Amino acid sequence: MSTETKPSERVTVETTLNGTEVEQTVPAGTLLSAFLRNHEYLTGTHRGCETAKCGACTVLVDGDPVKSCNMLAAQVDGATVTTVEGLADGEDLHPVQQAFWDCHGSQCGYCTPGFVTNVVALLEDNPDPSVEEIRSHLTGNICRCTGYTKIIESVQEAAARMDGDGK
Amino acid sequence: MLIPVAPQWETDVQGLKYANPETVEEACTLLRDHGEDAAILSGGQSLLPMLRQRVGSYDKVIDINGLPDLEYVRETDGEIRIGCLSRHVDVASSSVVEEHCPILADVAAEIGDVQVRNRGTFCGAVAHADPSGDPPVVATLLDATIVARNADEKRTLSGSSFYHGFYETDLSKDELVTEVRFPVLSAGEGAGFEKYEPTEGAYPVATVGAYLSLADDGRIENATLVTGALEAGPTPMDDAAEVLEDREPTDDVLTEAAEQLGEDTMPVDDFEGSAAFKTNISKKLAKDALQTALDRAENER
Amino acid sequence: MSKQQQRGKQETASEDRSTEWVGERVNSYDGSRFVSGHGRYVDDIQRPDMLHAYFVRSQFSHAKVLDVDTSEAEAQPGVELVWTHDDIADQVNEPFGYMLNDEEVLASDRVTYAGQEIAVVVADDRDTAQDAADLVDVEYERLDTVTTVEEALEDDAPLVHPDLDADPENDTDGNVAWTGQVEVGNYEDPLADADVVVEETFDTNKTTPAPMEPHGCIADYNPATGKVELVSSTQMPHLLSVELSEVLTEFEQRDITCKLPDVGGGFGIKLDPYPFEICSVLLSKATQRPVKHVLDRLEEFTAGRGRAPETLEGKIGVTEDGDIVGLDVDLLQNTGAAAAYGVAVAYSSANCGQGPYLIPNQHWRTKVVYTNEMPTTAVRGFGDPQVTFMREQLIEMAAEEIGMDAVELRLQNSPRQEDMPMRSDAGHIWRNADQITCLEKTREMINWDEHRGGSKTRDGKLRGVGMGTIMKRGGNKSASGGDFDEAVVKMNRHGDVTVLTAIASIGQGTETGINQMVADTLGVPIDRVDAVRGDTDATPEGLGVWADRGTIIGGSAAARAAEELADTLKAVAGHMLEVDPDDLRLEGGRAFVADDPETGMELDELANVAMLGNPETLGTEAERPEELRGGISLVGRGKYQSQEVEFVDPETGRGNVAHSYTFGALAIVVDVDPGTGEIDVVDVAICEDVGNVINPTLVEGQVQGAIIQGLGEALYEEYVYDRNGNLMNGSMIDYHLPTAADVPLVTKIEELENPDPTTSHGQKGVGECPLVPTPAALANAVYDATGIRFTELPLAPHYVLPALDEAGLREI
Ligand SMILES: Cc1cc2nc3c(=O)[nH]c(=O)nc-3n(C[C@H](O)[C@H](O)[C@H](O)COP(=O)(O)OP(=O)(O)OC[C@H]3O[C@@H](n4cnc5c(N)ncnc54)[C@H](O)[C@@H]3O)c2cc1C
Ligand code: FES
Ligand code: FES
Repeated sequence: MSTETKPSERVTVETTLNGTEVEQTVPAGTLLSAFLRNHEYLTGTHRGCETAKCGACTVLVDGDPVKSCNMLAAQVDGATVTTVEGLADGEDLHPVQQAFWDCHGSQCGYCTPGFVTNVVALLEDNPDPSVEEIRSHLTGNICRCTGYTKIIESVQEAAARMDGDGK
Repeated sequence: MLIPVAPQWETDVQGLKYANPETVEEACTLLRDHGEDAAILSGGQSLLPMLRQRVGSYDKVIDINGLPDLEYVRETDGEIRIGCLSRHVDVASSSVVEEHCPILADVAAEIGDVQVRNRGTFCGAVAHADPSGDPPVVATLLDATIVARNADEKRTLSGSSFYHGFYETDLSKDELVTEVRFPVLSAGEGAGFEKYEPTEGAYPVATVGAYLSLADDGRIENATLVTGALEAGPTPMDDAAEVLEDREPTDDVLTEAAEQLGEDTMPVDDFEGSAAFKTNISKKLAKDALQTALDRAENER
Repeated sequence: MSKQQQRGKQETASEDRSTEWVGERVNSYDGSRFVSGHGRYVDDIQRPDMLHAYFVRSQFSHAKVLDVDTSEAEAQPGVELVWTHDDIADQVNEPFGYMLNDEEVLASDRVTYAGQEIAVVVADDRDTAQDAADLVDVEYERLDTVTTVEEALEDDAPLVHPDLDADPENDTDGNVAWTGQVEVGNYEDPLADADVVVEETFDTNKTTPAPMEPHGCIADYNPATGKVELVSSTQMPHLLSVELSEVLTEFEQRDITCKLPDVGGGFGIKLDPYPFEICSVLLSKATQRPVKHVLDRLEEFTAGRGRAPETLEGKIGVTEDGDIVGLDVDLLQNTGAAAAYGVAVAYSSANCGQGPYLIPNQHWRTKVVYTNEMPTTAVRGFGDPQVTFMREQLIEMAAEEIGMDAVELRLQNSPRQEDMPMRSDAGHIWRNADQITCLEKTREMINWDEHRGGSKTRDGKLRGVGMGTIMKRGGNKSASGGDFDEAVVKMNRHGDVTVLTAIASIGQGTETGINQMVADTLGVPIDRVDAVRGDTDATPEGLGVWADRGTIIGGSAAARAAEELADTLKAVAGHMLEVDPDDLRLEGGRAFVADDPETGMELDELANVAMLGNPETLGTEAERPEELRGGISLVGRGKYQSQEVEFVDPETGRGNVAHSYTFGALAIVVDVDPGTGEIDVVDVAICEDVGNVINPTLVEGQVQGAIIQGLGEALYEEYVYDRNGNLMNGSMIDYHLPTAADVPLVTKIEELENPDPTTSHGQKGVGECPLVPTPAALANAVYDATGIRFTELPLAPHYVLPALDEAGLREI
């Protein structure tokens, strides 16, 4: 138990990022989204607003979807972080990604990583969600292109293909 | 609600200092030493937007997420106790809550969106006192007990008198809320919560919480009504509650109380709507919240 | 979506073309990158040594700029330059603007809206630039502000652009930027033949389409060549280089290479040449380093531009038997502090305001008015959603007045397919469209007769149904001088195909459709076709994506280019197989004799032989047919220049403003909550005549996206300014965009496929159309449910509930 803890301007972040251990020392005020984009060059995590609203920056922290623009990088020290880039298995898209492509759940693609990560988490908890459950799960993600119908169909398709086994 | 007149948003919070204490004592010591310019970081769902807008004078955050044993929702001694690291999602899905105080789940399940609920803490929201925050409304409604600590002592504060307008509470800068306790609602008691949000997941524009207890003869014994988002924070609506007391809980009586609440609330015109609109919608929310409270009170009997 | 073969369908596909891909649900070309997080948007691109720009923006909507003190900002470590207007004045032609010259790149001595660019800081990183921008001290002297059209038109109104008003060369008159009219038939008394006249004034809302990706660019100047490369999140790379060269005194079009990154949505507001693009170019030139600027969301809200609100005072005249005889409209557009595309929005609103109807007498008077608000510009639907909000409500009002069903009235006044091609009353050339079936299908899908008249649901909601219609332009040339696109289709020695097109990708999927057309023409699998888009160095000329023109114009150009390459391939194959090239068919990666599929060869081999062009395989040049001598080029070129589109007549406002028109109808069923004023859209149905569908999935995606965007604007969204012209809700927290839980699934989509005989595959415009009738249909449905006519947008609860209250319908 250390009583040495003092507020410091730089923090060392050790995290399992997309399956790889990474360690970086960054300014304490670095947002998780900025850490991912600017320090880890994972630019699939997008910035769509500054107000923690749009969900384009959604990533999984210990499996839970969170808005990475609304967390400090320091907070994922010791945690597991999965970004959209970490979902595919080599060349093979994650079933959720494949379903979004096949069902045209993505047009301009800017919102897509946020939706895909959030849906991966949804289907882990609830492998067979109803339309209403899907809609209410996705209120933290805004899409301006699709009008959501094909996003919802993508989720249903992914659920059907994953057939309840979560992967 | 956002703090108005936000000139700019930082992409990173420059010059911020960060500490992550491992014990409550350590956290309290840090708060004592840095209280004026340090903020507690729990869920961060309100703090991060504030820091990015440079609202407030903080340049340090004390991240309490590493503190042990503070993530729980349990029933002890007739109270539901929520540890300060329990997230909205934990409250929303707690079976203890569902059984003993379902209004808490109603509230928690509708805060923001999934991502916000995964991080934001119920106690943090109680402490933060956002005027449009939902947890402060139930903390006031049910007179929650707020357990706060500083480096020297632990004390408990009463939810019904905790709030004093815009982001103002009885907490002092060096205090950490470790737990918030809600009463277990027993037979003949019920509470309901309703809110109006312009789109799903948006901050509410008007909220109403209602509590009723029924006497053996079915008449209303005690009633409490509290609004949120309409004024500078949770606002008890005593005259409206008085309408109900000692009356038969008929539809007309509930309507009368709801109308009274609307007449008494004092919202302001803004881009979310005129005061008149907010008044009208608060009546509807009050009626629905009372109906839920009544249904629950009657079911539990 | 069912494919309907409609009467009058014309064979447009050449007979020997494969039909493996066109019409199929091919996955989007970019989709695999997007779903896996490997898109590449402007902000994802880093260049070595790159600087970042940040703007100092006006805090006031109208003020004199007395002094700009940049010294403190300049002294910050990491800051390269801080510029004000004086620093760029001799490098730009000002004022500039897309249609009217009314903008400055950085404000000189006056600011005309809150959010306007005053100075720019460029620094090593964005945070440094942003912090330094905070330190730039601007001394203002506040001036009186006008935020509404009424205020702006008052005699003693403060002038937004006094200098333009004073300039005798300029048409600006007071705060009126532009005046126009459309005159049809007995325009002096257009309602003369009416038995019944219905009139009402409508006000539409100022909105932003809020593409998820903000605007942004990287300018990279090369001092050795004097050229700049601009990677910008734009909808029109080629036109951008043209526009920028007109503003930048030291750059010709050839000096500006515009390149497209992935673009995260545009919806119209990524068309204008923006001050941030101009400054980035000049800053890169000055620093000889790449300069990036990406707007943040607050900047998007205050300076990213949006839809112009319009006030429409309309009168419609009908006979007792339900003939529409006349339309008389005053249209006032609040264009904001600069007109951008506002003039085109206004004149096309008026020119197309009659919608899909035969209306013999019309008079439209249009004014574009300056105010001290953010400039408005093109937004999906252009001016059509605004005028349609008026027209379709007037039509339902008139129907009620004469006791006729509103769909019947529409049917009676719609043009007949058998009369086409025809000139509409306002001068449009209408070809092969079946509006009658669109109306009938929509009525059927939405169960019009069951809902019409309003009812109360079991849970106490007020239910009703309403309709709106579409007659939407595809293509236009007023701003660009002509409507054309060029394309190149090339093949490598392995038989892989690349399409080079000026069409931009902003998510709408045009490249996927183009690839499908090209794949069929060349008979190759779709995954062998790549698209290079919107790069002014690499791709031939074209105009970008707006006005639903991508698949019509750009697609037709690419199809022609593919035809040329196909002819070459057939010539080579014919020579090698010793058959007549005209007997050959390209399909499934082979060239073969149509009647004798065994006789043929693989395209891969064919490509290799043709590319190398060796006498060992092809014989000496003397032995080859004419077209295979002097080098066999596996490059096909194609150009499509609309011969149909006209400049509208400035006197009468009439003319064929677009290449083609898409017709359709949309209906909505709503439940209105009498306790909260919330409107729940419980059903939507749309039937459009989109010509031949290249890719049904893409079409559905456009339809669904446009309808929901329209519902967002109709139900929730609006810019709210205070008296001083400050935006009150400039964030996604406070400006309410619909989420998945707020809007219905859109599945009742019916596409009629009456081909346009002028396009390569009979295609018509798709992407903007479904937004057009949505606000109107919603308001009509709410009227049907409540009996209350909502004439202002949006129909948000805070407007609906007070109206219900007043009408005695509010319940708790
Ligand atoms: C998009 C979005 C939508 C939202 N919608 C809603 C909504 O509909 N309803 C609603 O109620 N809220 C909403 N919120 C806010 C959310 O509920 C926050 O979680 C909550 O307000 C604060 O909790 P937190 O744990 O995140 O606190 P933090 O952000 O970590 O802290 C906020 C403040 O509270 C203080 N604080 C936090 N924890 C403690 C503690 N244990 N002891 C003492 N002080 C403490 C901090 O010092 C800080 O000043 C929304 C947030 C977002 C981003
Ligand atoms: S960028 Fe994080 S929520 Fe919008
Ligand atoms: S696909 Fe463009 S925002 Fe969702």
